[in-house]
Amino acid sequence: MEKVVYISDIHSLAKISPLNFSRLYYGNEFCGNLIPDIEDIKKVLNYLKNKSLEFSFVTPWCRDSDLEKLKKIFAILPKHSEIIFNDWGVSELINRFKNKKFKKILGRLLVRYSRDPRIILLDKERNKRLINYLMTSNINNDAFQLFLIENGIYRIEIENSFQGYNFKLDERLSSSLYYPYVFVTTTTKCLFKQDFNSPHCKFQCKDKTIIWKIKNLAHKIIIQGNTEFYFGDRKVKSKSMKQWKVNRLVFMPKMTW
Amino acid sequence: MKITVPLSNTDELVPLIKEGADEFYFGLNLFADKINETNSLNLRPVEFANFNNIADAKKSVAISQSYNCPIYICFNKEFYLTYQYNIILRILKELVKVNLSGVIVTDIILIKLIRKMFSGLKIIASTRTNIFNSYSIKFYSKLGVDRFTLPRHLYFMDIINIVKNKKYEFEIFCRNEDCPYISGFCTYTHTIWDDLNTTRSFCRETERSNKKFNMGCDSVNYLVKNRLVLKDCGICSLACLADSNTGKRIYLKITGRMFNLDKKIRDVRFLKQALHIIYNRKNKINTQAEIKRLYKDIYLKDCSENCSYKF
Repeated sequence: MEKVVYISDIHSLAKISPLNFSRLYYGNEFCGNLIPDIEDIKKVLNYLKNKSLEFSFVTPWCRDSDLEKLKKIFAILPKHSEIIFNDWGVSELINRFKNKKFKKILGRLLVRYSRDPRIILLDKERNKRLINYLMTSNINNDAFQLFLIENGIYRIEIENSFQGYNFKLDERLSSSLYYPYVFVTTTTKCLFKQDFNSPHCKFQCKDKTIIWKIKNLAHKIIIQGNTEFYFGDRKVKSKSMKQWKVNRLVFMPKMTW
Repeated sequence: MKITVPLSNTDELVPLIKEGADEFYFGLNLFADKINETNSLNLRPVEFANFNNIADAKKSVAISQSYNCPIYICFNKEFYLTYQYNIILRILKELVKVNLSGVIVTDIILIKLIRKMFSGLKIIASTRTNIFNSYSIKFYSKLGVDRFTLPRHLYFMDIINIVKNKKYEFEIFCRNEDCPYISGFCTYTHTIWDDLNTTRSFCRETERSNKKFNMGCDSVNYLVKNRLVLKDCGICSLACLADSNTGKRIYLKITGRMFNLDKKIRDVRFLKQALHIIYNRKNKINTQAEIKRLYKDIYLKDCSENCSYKF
């Protein structure tokens, strides 16, 4: 099992122990404003030179101006780098860098699936059919799995949601399991931003978190930046890990920054 | 610019056409069971937002086409179960016979299937495909998409940039909705129905709207309160897209299949007359003032100036 640590902020680099992990995910899935600077990426790549850590770059959904940033970043990434994409437009951009032979990974925002934490409130016995449906995603579709393979995508990113998944993966595909934070929703109308109608911000979200209580639910919604998460504290059974073909665990010590 | 209007009942067609609706979209529920999140073929799993039999859908398509108004069916879920693909294809076969114009779709596999089996149908990428950039347009156009519904959360400057692409048509939301979450990424359930067909919970946003918040911090309370307010419209800003060739490719989408006819009529009337003001405008300030007056005349209240788009 490959163990990965996922960071979005270069300052977190000093806090990770390279001995505990074999791969570093660096980047952001949720906000174009948090795409790392080229200089920071160079620093990370430089840091990794003397370590036995592989590198993967994580990308968010993007506006055109964010894609311009990514073009510059892709130009300096080493050949064969892994890129996790959460926007089909980014996948299209990666295809333009043919000579780099990047490995594309389907990000968790593109695994279409309900992650509503209130699912835990459903009575399991009485709602078997419904819960089974809520475990279903676009990944269940064999035709979609084939589409991924045809487009050079051999890995999908999933997370330790309350209800789990019921897909069976093609033998050519595998998955990475993120923990402990489960993505729920995201927005451009970021609570920390002064003007919702403007794409720009002054990174006011840094190191700030809002905890939101949901009626009847012990688990709280955690808002960091423009995105809401819940803390997935359920242990995933080894049987499920096998079924989902998880061969990579992605530890996310912080949600975004 | 043209106006795309939601439809949930055949009787709505003629009155809406008379008000100035240019085209329609609708959903269809064919299940004997109560429609719910698991069996619905679109993202509005409620009876009154859908036609509930194929005969009504066929009749509506035929009437709409007789008035030269294109009409689209909505299959906008992110994925379908295997049996649902077969149902959708059967529905399309029936509706193509009466000249259905096209389909609103999110699921990549459904887009590919429709393109392969119904080459004459126009495919509209739903807002849940998350068209936030021009490369996404390239991706989906390769699959066979003809028109793109732009996300509500796309900033106005990005909309202006994206609609410059002369090859495609675009839909822009214009009335009724502004959920704080990005529709195509949000994973909250709108409605969860348990096996006894009782509602367990609604969209999280509804839950929020009904509650008083105390975040322990005045500034955050203020922000939360402001974010919850649903926007009025964005028609004044959209005036800048009305000109010449760009305007011809833009469809102003009214949401709310579940609303009653009176509400739909007022929305169409408002947009139609607002467009008339825009196309005959002399300057920006006068245009806004006139549209605000129109708003008050039609909705009997002042425009809140809480605009979806600002230019």
